Amino acid sequence: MFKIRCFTIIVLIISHAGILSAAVNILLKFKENTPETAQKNIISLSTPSAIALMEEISVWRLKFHSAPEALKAVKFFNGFDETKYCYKSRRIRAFAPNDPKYVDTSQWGLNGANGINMDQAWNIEGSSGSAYITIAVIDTGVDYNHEDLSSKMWISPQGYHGYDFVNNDNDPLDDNGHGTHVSGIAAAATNNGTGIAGVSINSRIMALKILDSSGTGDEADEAEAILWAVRNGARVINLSLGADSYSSAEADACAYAFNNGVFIAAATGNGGGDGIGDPHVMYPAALSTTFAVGAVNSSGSKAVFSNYGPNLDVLAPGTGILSTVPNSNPGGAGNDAWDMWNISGYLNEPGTSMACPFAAGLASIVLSVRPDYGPGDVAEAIRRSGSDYPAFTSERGYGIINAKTCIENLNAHLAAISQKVTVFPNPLKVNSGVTLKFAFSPAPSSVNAVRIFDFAGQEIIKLDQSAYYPSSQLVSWNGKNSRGENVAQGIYFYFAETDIGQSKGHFAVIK
Amino acid sequence: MKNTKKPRNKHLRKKPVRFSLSRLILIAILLITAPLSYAGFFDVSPGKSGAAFMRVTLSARKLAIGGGGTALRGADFIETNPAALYDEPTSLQFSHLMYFDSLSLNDAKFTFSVESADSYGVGSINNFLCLGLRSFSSDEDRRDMLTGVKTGSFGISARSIFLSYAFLSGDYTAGLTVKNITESMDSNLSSAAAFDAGVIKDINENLSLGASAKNIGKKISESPLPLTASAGFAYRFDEFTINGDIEKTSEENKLLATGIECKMAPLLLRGGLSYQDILRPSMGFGAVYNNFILDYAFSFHKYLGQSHLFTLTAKF
Repeated sequence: MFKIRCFTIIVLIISHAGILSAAVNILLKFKENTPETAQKNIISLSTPSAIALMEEISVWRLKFHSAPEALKAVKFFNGFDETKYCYKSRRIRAFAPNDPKYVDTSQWGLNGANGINMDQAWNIEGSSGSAYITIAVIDTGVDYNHEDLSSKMWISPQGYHGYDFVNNDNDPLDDNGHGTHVSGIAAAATNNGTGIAGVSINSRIMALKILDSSGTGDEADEAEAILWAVRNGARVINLSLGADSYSSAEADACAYAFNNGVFIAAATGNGGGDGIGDPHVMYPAALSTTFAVGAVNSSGSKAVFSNYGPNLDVLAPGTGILSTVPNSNPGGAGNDAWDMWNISGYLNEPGTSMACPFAAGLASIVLSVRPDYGPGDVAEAIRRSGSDYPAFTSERGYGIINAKTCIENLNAHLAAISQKVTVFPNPLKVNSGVTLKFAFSPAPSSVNAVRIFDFAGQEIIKLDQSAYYPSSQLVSWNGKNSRGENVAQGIYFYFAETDIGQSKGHFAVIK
Repeated sequence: MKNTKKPRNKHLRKKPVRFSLSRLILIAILLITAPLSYAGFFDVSPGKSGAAFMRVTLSARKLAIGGGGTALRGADFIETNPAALYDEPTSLQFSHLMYFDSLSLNDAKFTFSVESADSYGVGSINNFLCLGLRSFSSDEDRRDMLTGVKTGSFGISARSIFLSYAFLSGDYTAGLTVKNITESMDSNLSSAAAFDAGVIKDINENLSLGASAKNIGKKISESPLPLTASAGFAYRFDEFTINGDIEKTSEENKLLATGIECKMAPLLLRGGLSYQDILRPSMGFGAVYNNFILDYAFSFHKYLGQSHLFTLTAKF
């Protein structure tokens, strides 16, 4: 009887492997140690109309004639101890936002030939960002009543959208327009049939106003705003602002954010009064703890005004960028020289200020897919998506960022795991914003503990399930001990225990 | 007058008492409290101090009795307490540790004595010296920060070269070690100079007390050296010796160790326990053949597994 069933399965595999299409599929995976004959035996107890095995990932695809039949099979297979998972295959669709300005191709930065390839990136599962990832826009404030932003605003427990450091109150309403423009690029409401699309569909915008109606502000407010953003849970900060010279307080604030896992995208600057980009990146973009973003035009060339230099990381669209602005004069008639507004609520603007939020929005998506990442990881993931990567030039950095490439590669490590635990990077450089990853293969459903010991065998920290990211199959560690202090350079041992088994090994930490 | 010949059984020595017990205690307190002046000494922030390979026991006899031995004598305990060197015969010692996860460490020591005129210029004294080297090296896989793919390899090495000196001072022995510690990791190279100091006092023929301070020096690779203060006792019975030690390293938890060494001719059998967050049992033996001694120790770590340590000593 068993042979007949197996024969039937083999015939089904051969006859249908190539013709599986829509209809109702279920995906079934058995636990690692289940012999293939046992797997086939269990499958033979059901009545799929077609069977195929995705050998690389040991996942069976079973086709059923109807949804009830498929759901019944899911329940049936989940009743076996040997089953690791079994569920009905979801229907997915190509994602094309219905925002009119996106549809009429006004947003070349998202879907143009030299844009960031966001149209294709959105087709990747998980590329919509997360409402739990907040982008702090430290700028002139945000028109939080804007039709394309109001649903995307971060809200504090007290009901505020951020803070106004210029007027020292809880109302960060934009009286200039610049911050509203920047916010729309990063995370305008998308697929809402209104206005434009933003890079990150689900991320939230925290409005921190430090620039006044003329677009200028105080460095002290900037430092305070950065700390405020970190304290209130922002994972990404957008700084479309800067100055020519180094500032210690600004550097310290950025370092604080960096050491607390917050990614900062900063604009490289727009040159001097001549409109020609200067050969140096402005601060804070020039700091090692920030990510320097320059501007590219729709032809793929560096924008003429975009500052450049060895501290430049990447380029992003920065000319003719359509985004949200207040639909009434935000600064009043006396401020027209500075105001950025349009009665339609949307306006094209150039600048590295506009390029920066493309990177910030992408960073928020990266962190939604890989919450284990430190800011150094995020920076490197975006750099590697650059059109010129690995080549680097002072004028273009690593080239134009590509959201599709970036998001596609976020779980590239899964293909490289060939043993129980792969630990990387090796060596880990502390204070680089990069986390150490313990990647498991096969993926455990629970991690009891990952204990890390110094070279003498003393335990320095115990990581538990809360440090485990099932979607990436890894536990991440920030290089700090149980007291939250950086560990010394040296070799460290680990002992990992999951529901599947135990593993131990070592890795190196350098300073 | 200091000793002019090398006494072989220090417990039967007759020598003038120039220093009172209270002075010895004072010195011991200084030895122990000097490290405590370091601001972070009492803090527990594990993994924060550098050159952790200096905290790994590299003598089979010492490991087998739990890793203590501050009040014990012999070349095996020089890195715990340099005073242990006093009265040691000329010897050459090699140790090889098969450590966790297939890593290994090595250690070599040469102990010898040099005669010199005493402070009165009428006799001679023996200066007990030891030149030593401990080393560690490993080739590691370099792995990409985002993908985990192996992209090459890099080297790690660490070594410590030291010179110890021990002398008799009144009714206790004292010792001093100067050392140079070097670490190389990938392209990062760092080194630091440090010294150790220690005393051992024989209270009577059976009981000895010891205290030491180790790795007194500046930072290595931006991290403090593993500054360590330890104190212990050893009590000798006819057929066995017991020891107990307490050790505190800056930023690390206290370590408690105890052990026993029994003579069961032709072997010396040893067992010990150490506790620093977890209990770590150890055991081993020593076998003597003419001028050669082979010591073996086995230590068990609940999570990281076993380590095996072999020490071969040749006495001249």
